[in-house]
Amino acid sequence: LEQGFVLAPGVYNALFAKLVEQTGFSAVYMTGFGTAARYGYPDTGLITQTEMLANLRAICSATRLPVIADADTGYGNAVNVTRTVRLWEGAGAAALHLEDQVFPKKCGFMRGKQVIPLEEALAKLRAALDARADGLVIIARTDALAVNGWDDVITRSHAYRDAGADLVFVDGIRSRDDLAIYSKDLVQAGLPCLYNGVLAEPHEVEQFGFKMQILAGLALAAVYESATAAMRALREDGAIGRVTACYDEPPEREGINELLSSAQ
Amino acid sequence: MSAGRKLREQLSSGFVVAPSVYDGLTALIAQRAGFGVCHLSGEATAAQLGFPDVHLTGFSEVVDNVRYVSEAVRISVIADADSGFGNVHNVARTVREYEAAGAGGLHLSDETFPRHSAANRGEHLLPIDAASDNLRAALDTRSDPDFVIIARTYAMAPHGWNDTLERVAAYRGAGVDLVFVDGIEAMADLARYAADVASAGPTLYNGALVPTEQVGELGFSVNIAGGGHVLSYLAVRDALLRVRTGSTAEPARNELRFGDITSLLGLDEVYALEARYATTSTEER
Repeated sequence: LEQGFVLAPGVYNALFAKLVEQTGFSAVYMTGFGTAARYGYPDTGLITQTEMLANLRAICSATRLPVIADADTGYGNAVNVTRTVRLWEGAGAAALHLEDQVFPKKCGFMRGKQVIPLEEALAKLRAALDARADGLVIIARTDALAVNGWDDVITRSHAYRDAGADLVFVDGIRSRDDLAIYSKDLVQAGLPCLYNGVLAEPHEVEQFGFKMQILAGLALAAVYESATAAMRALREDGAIGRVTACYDEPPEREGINELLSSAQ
Repeated sequence: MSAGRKLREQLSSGFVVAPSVYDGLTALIAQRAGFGVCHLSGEATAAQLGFPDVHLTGFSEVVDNVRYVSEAVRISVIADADSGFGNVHNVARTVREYEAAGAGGLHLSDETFPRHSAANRGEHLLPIDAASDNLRAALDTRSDPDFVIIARTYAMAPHGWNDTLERVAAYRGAGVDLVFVDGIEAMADLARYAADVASAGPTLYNGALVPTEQVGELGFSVNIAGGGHVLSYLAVRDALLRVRTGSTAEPARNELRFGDITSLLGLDEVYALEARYATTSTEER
């Protein structure tokens, strides 16, 4: 983070984390949406702290890259946040983001989100900052955009930064217009900010002045598309094109084994 | 209806194609594509936890994955149980845990535990009697008599057909529901597998030497279509390389996928439950 703009592709298992390292990125992001999907659930607070932690441990063990981890709402109140921060730090996370939604939460892009009052969110953020032991980067995420609009987002962002958050993260940016407001009113006002999305290419996001971009849905979207196509092909043609080819081309399979066996 | 009964009905209604999955999401995708049975691969379970397929994953990690996959879908799950994670005691526990986790059946191999070599599967086989004991322990332990027990042998690669056929006969004699010969890599072997094994009783083929339809015509009961995690690996790698070279996916498609993915994962059901039980007043604000 001190060396400049950080681009972190989103993954939800250890194999994909290894791939992020192998393809030359400098950080990896663990997505709660993807973790929930891996377990077969939508991202609506059904996946618990322990399940997120298990996935985080597997991912941190699999890569030397710094792991930026979703910590949702901290799984309860300020006391729960304290424990979450300690667990995430113990698992090896380099950074986490904590959001101001009502628990149980929803994905940042779903309807039906609710946010907790600013005072409560600040108390949870302070609990997180006090609980960290060892340089964990704490990212304060606000979900207020869809609920209350930009004025509240700007108030909250400044309050979170003033309370000591290392980065601010406005989630639910759905248009280039919103991204422009985010950039103009917060990034250019001097707040260190994170952008989650693909409305702009990384070099553009960096030019806007963001400190970090996460591509939360990268692995999930890739798997979803390829698995859907493969299952259709198997159903309709009796063979999965590329997988069948894989068996004839051992290098691709060996690629996985090599990746999995590579020294940490 | 028990998970075992459900799988057994699938098997008795005809030839079954079971695509390999490795997590809740891929199982849901298999179900949506119309498959009635999916196969949970041990290799892919290990891979997603970051390990090669040499028993570095803990038993509870493996069982957790069986549970997540079984809970995610209504279709039947055939779960890879490797060699049963130890001796007959471990085999017995494996059967109890897999059954409780919601699998409809499992396959149990005749390798020693832990796997001695990732490269040379089948180099270290259990003696035929010990392997049969494991299978009998598995059969005796199941609490649901419909829970499907499949015997897998790795004897083909190191020992060839004679030992393989001897083992198939012994395992069938022990009472397993299906047999599964691993390492069929040539058309001639597939033909012999069909003629000498599939013709004599329920048999599973794990491979893609011919399209699934032909596998059914050859007389097999089940065709596992593996390699799903390899495909995911390639897709994620391609996506990462696209970002590295400066071309991320266009936003419109991303938006579309978001809706598809959340609906597959059951978001609509969550909203329906919220409406029924008023968990949160989403209309309040």
